[in-house]
Amino acid sequence: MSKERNYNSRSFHLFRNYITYSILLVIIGIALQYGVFSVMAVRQKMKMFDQQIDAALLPINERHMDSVLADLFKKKVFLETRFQMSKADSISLSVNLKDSILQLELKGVVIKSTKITDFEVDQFFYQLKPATYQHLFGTQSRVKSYLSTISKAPVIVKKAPKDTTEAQASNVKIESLKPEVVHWMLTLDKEIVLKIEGSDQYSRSDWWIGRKFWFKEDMNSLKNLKETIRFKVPEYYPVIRLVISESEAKAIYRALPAKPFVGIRL
Amino acid sequence: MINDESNLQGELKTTYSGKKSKLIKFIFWLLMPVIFWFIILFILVGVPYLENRPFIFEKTISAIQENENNSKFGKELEAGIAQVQKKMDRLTPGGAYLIVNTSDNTFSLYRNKALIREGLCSTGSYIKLEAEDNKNWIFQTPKGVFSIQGKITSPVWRKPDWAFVEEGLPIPGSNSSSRFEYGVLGDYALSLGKGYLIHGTLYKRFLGQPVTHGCIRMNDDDLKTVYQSLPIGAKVFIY
Repeated sequence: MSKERNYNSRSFHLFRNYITYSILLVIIGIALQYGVFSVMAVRQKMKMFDQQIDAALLPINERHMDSVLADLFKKKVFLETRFQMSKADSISLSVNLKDSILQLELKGVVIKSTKITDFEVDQFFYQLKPATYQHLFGTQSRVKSYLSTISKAPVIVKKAPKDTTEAQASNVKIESLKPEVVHWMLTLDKEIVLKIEGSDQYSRSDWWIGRKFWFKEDMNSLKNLKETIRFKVPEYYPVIRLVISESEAKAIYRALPAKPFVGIRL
Repeated sequence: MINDESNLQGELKTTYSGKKSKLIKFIFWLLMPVIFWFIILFILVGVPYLENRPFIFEKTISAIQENENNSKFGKELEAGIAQVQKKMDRLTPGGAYLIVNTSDNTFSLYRNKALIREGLCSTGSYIKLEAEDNKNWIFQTPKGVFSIQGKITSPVWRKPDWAFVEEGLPIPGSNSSSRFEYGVLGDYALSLGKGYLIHGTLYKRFLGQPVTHGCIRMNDDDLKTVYQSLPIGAKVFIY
């Protein structure tokens, strides 16, 4: 009887250990798989961009460019993009990372210019071949979708008063005056993500709202994990993250139309 | 006696190996959270790092010097830049133009591409007024590029329907005398079309705030300078 109990207990322990080690191995396997597939996603995106380029641009890739030439090349590409954007009737956004300037432009006129206080660019962009660079940034990109901590238009609904007494009593607080944490994100049609953080000395008090916004966004990207478990290469969107002052971030976000054009210079 | 000793040794061995396996299990369970922590760290930090360094093992491009070709290419690029820059420069008006920021409620006046005056103004409040008969109005300043279509001195305000609805008053006839108010728009007004004006205000304490019904309000001095600087046809950029 006791021999049988001992045997049962030992086999239970063996089974428990087997399960524990298996789970651990599976988790390590998934993590590694996620890592490998994520790197593959970046390489696939690069390959896709390289394949999309116009054959006429291919000779540029053969050319070895030193830093001076590369700078001139990027300057020309950016100017050409801005010139194309000037033909549109609506406000467009130009991002100049070389000079750390973010601009709103309308018909080629700079209507707002703000200093980019900090930025981060995925290394992916620095690996682009000249022709791929021209393909990506040589024409304007259109914004596909917005995500933001603030509303695009701070509309306040007010019911018409029935008489003059009610009209005098009604007092509406203007929404756009209240201090707000401003963070927004643009996804461009060229599958580039622009993340803009409004941050300055006046915006420290409720910084956690911004963190929460970005954390939620980062958690969204964990759906890639689901893809990798199914042995699928996840979608990779190269990211440019900019930090500008909070009031400027609000003004620029609200000034942009529904589908604005964006020009970028690295 | 010998049997007892060997039994004792056997028991000691069993106790020792039992302790050893317990110790191993203890270390294993102690390490489990650390292993899990490393896995989470790998997913959250390691993978984004690797994504950014996908070409870490790739050889750098060999620096083949093509001096002559490059200098020619450089000259071509410089010429191209100068050409496009010239086109871009031509897009900015040479005369006077006005830029209005509806978010900060400020304006900037330019002449010959140089800033000559800036200050506070008031723009649309973004209030949506809803009347009982399904009529509604949104008081917002339109964004985009406009041009001065008319200039008026001592303007008279012809109150639209919403002005009466907002005050809880009945809407009068279109030519009723109660529609006309004198002296509320300041000394000058500049028309942007579709009923939108740049004008003065009695409520100067609200300058810098979005309180208007869509027009742009300025203080008397700023309005005078803007009126004198902007000819008919001058561009007004609102964002």
